[in-house]
Amino acid sequence: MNDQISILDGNTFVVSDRRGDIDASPTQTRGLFHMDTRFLSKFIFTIDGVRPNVLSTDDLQYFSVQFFLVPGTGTVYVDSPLSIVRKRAVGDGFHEHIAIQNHTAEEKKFNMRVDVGADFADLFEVKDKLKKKGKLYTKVLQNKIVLGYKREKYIRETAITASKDAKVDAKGFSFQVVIPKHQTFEVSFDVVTAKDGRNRIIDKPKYSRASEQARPDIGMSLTEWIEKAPTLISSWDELEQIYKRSLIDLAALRFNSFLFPNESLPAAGLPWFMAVFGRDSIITSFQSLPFEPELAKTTLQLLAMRQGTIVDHFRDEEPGKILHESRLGEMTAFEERPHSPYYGTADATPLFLILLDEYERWTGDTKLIKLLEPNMKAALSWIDKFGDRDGDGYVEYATYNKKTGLENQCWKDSWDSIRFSDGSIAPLPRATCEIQGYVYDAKIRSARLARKIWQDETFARKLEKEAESLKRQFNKDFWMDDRKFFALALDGKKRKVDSITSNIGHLLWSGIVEDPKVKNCVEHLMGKDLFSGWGVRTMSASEGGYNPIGYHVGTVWPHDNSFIALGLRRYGYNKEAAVLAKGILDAAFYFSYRLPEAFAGYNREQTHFPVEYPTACSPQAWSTGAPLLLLRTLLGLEPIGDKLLVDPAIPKDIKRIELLNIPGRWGKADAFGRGRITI
Amino acid sequence: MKSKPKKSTDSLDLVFSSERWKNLGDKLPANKKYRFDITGAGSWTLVALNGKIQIAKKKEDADCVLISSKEDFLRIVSGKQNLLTALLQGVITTEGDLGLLQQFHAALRKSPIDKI
Repeated sequence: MNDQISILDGNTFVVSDRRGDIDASPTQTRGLFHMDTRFLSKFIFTIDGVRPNVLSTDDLQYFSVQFFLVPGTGTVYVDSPLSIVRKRAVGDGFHEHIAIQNHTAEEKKFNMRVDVGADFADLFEVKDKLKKKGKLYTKVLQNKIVLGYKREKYIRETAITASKDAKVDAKGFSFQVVIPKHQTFEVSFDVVTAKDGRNRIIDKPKYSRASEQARPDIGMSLTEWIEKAPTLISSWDELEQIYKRSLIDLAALRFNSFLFPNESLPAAGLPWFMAVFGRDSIITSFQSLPFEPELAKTTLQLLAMRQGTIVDHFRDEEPGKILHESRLGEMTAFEERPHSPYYGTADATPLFLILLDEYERWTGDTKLIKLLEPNMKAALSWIDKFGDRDGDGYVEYATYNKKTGLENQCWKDSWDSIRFSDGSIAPLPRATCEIQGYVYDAKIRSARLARKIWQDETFARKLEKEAESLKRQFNKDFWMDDRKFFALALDGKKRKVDSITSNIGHLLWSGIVEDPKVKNCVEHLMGKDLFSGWGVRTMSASEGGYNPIGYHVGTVWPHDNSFIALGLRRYGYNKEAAVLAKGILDAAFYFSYRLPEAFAGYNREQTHFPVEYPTACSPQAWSTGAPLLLLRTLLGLEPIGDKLLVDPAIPKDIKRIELLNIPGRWGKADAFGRGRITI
Repeated sequence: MKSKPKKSTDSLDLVFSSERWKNLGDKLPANKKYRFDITGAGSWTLVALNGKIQIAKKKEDADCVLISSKEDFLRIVSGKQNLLTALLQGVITTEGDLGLLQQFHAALRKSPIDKI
């Protein structure tokens, strides 16, 4: 069970334990985070020096939470004389209201204390266990503590103010509390990210009262967000729960960029990845298109605006390239990390082109497509000029920033993900197979837009010709005829990296696979070595590098599977798509309807429940989006001209799915499907 | 006989009168006003109109304001200091629309004034 509670608003979030306390160790992600910096690392509540016990926690809203506590250890024979309710709401810091109720017929006296502290750690420092280079300072004022950090002109400050008179020292607030019989003591704290590098003064958090009706930064409220989304009705109650959880989490993960405070796009995940990520934002926007198409629009606009302009090896930037990750913490500020922004991704650029086309297919928003024509052409130009760095027709990657650049620039971006069958690591530069699929798809889709929107037949034909040539060549160069699947990659010596992985599922999604080879790919994907019973593993259990709890070498990733299922349907393997969709949705039930970033690759028959991956982010945007794409796949939703095609392929276990008010170029449409597939 | 006006050799004047800045016209959003407040040296206002840049040494209301010391400003426009990391470091401050600042940053990266 998850023992931490997270609430968030834009790029500010609070991670605490289930009591509401923040007690961060240098390597733990608990704290108040804002702009990739921990503004508060300690916030501990005690009564007579003892931390209370938790009765329950209510975190149904993503921006506020309530903690119900009792002091001391208590037993079943002794009722607690006091109860404590902490209510917290996040926004420009957080507001916390504490109410302590005396349930007895006699007066109660005790010392209440809140200890505070801030280490102003950059998220990279937390992750990589690094030390700070500047100086911390503390100012003690009347009922107020200011915690600060200074390094040259870089200044960050957190101000904490108590609403009642307190004895204040450098480490916290003390109250000598006297509560008459059956009365309540109340106090609140304003914790403000007072100096965050922007030229503005913040003296109060967004919510003056934690119990007040929430007004999140991100455009519409949660209620409006959910009401605006299509309505799901299903005979399988769990599916409705999963859908609701996904919508709530998607709302929570909407992120306000520092540079575009009025627009929101999906951040990648909590707690490590509350930032703009090219790949993650694109993938999540794609998954969400039938449900929340505005996310795709903002993602496309923001990524276009920050498209690479020059060759900058420190940032792995090249003209036309779509960014990988943007950060705002101290290490980025002092260029000790290249994330301002960092462009170390080889797939975000073709994925950007794919999303652009898919967005037009669903929404008919030709205005945006026309506006982004220069960006689209720059992205296509990057593929040929910089992506394919040796002229062999394939996009390959290797960082130019040897010190802090990324080793792997595909979605499996851990250092050891691209391995040969014997487990050895493939040398750079690497051309992974799925990126070639994305490039193929990007060119086919860009040709459609060139023809339809820009009326440029010559350019459309050129792109189609290039795509067909890539498909022909790819099916020769990557196919392993002895083992009947596509190699994971071509390595720096143009050798086939011969591991069998989930990447072949992405090839189906892209359409690059020639028909005679499809059946072999499907047999591998649904065979016992890749398919765990819950989903397709990132790497086959038959491979030397396989590890069921290896980040990209054996775990099951829900987003990965959502695209594989879509790929299976693309080639007419409807039953297999239904099996996969059901497996992943079944797993969601065991994670309280919230799919994590990844879970272990153990066989379903062996464990009977999906085993949690130790450090998985949750919620993670593209895992949140996975059930949405799976729903689209089960119902067979495809825009055809100005109509929405519905072609359900639903397992019999799910008797009925209705999705009402699906937004798109058709206005609103409904989709109905009955479970007819035996799995 | 009138003497020819002397060409300014002040590095700020050189920046604001440079050909590269005049060519930013098609790279910046039209009709949006930028102002540069350079500590101790004054303010310059820049606007892109019909693809052409107009620059004047005057302080006007603007959509995006960049406040900096002369030294830091010159480091930024010459490409020696990244504008966004300068902002995060506290080396410069801004007011107004940060999206416009991003567009200025992108334009500047393509055309740094590397000979001041």
